[in-house]
Amino acid sequence: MNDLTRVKPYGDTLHDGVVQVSFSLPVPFGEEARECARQVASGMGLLEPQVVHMADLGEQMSFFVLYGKVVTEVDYTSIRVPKVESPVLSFVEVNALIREKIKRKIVVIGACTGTDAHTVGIDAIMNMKGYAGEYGLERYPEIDAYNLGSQVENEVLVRKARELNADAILVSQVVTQKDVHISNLGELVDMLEAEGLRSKLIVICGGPRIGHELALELGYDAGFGSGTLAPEVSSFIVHEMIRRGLQ
Amino acid sequence: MRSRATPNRRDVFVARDVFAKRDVITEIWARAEALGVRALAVVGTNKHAGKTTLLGALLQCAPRASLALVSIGVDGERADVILGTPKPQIVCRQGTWVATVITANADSSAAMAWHAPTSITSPLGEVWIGQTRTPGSVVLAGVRQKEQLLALKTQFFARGAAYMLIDGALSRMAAVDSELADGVVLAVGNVRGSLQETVAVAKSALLRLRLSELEPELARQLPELASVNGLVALPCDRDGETVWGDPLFLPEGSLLTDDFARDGRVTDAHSVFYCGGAVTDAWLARVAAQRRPQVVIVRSAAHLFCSDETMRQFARGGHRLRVLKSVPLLGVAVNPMTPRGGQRLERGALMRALKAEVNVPVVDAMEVDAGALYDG
Repeated sequence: MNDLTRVKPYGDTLHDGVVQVSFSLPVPFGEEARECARQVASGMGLLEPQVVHMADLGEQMSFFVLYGKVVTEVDYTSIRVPKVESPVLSFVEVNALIREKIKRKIVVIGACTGTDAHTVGIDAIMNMKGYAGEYGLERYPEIDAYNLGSQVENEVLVRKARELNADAILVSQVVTQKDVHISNLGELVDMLEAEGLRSKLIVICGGPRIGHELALELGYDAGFGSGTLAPEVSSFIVHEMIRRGLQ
Repeated sequence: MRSRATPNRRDVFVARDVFAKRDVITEIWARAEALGVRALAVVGTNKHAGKTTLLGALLQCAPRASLALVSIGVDGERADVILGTPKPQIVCRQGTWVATVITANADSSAAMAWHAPTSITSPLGEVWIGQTRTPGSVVLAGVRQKEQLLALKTQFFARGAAYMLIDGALSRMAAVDSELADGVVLAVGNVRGSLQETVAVAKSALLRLRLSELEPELARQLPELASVNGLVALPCDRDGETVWGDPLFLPEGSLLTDDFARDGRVTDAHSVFYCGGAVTDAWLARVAAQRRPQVVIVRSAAHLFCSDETMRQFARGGHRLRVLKSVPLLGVAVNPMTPRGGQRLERGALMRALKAEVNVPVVDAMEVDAGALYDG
């Protein structure tokens, strides 16, 4: 019987704790490399590490796949993760709700900020054609959506929010180094506070390294991870605007 | 078993060390009292700066007065949201006021009396004002905006809190807004295992936090600026000491939308500028290029978004950058540790480098054992 207070990874049998990991090491291919990989896995806390596949990547690099056992048990029943709780409406429902409750078009601006040039996430949300069968915000008749593109400075984004009298800002951070996305996202919220705009706006961030909990810690209203589609974001914006009386 | 009456030399050293740290934190509180500080902001230069540990030490060494506690992010949670590493808990005395979401405190050890909803809503639920009925840990969550902090400040003081501690989030500086806080303690974290980089980041934060307040003789000649959220330009003599004409008010103006230039009424005679919003690199660099000395007044350090180089260039040009109201720096805490197995900084060298920069107490936050200090 599966005991949810003592969860371990499932390999071949329940509760065996077996996991698979893979990594590359900057060492020449050979038996020393195999042992090096085993020691790395052991250092990761894995018991009984076994190299089940290895390959020579050339240039003094080797690739490994290993199995090992995890000893940690997690009490699944005690986990509480902050999540975006807003109900997700369809394209038609979101537009109808805006017409009914907000009674004007809402303005949403989106950008990849800082040094990040990876617009795949923001494009999936904003672009008219959308992604995975869901239209992007540019297609919503009740939303004026402005996609500012990539490598947008916070200053430029805040200026645009003032000029367009924006209702919501979407910030995407996909690829960043040395946690620069954290200071960058924090600076944007601080700048909105300094400009007296924060309380008038819904501020959302998204990206593979961003969850709802981090977003809240950074002072955002919501954080969306990879795979988020336009209806989830637009539903949250509209519900949050209504809840905060930002009509 | 060793007798408690005959501790060995190491125990004596550790005890002295803990109490020495306690003295430093107590000195920070003494400075706060001397300056009449009631709202104290705890901000960090970067992630893992030791803010929560510092906050814990400040709570344990606080004067025997009613305290209130609020975070502009999330704090007191068991694991770091970015690193996944265990976090120190926030341990409060009995009777501490907090503003937080009730559900976030399901695992808190402090028994809580929930007094009133605040109508501050968050994705985690509504924020309530509560008071600890027993000593123990709390989780602070749900407050995200300056306006919300201002409302809570009023409520806490109305309920009899003598001091409010504002916990900043990550490297955010919003809490050092002079409307919110009247004192600040800075936590300095290890930056990539480099003493040089760590000190540089600390100096950058200190550059902003220690900007001089507007000179009283000039302040006396200015209109009431604290209530202005937009822009003001004033004609002034060449020395920037005497205002001689009517101020030009742009109550909805912003430097980000370049409203001084767009308005078209600013002339060469205007050399004192006040900005109630964000001051950024582009505008300050343009002012720095002026031959005539200029005075730029920002509302607070929280409103300044300029690089160190632009600020230095501005000063080199003979211009003056001032804050309308400063938030006094009361102390600096350092965290030489790194959470990712990186290089630990040499504590003594870091402390010496920062002590050379400031004239306030400097303490190693990681060596202030909040548990040892905790006396309920």
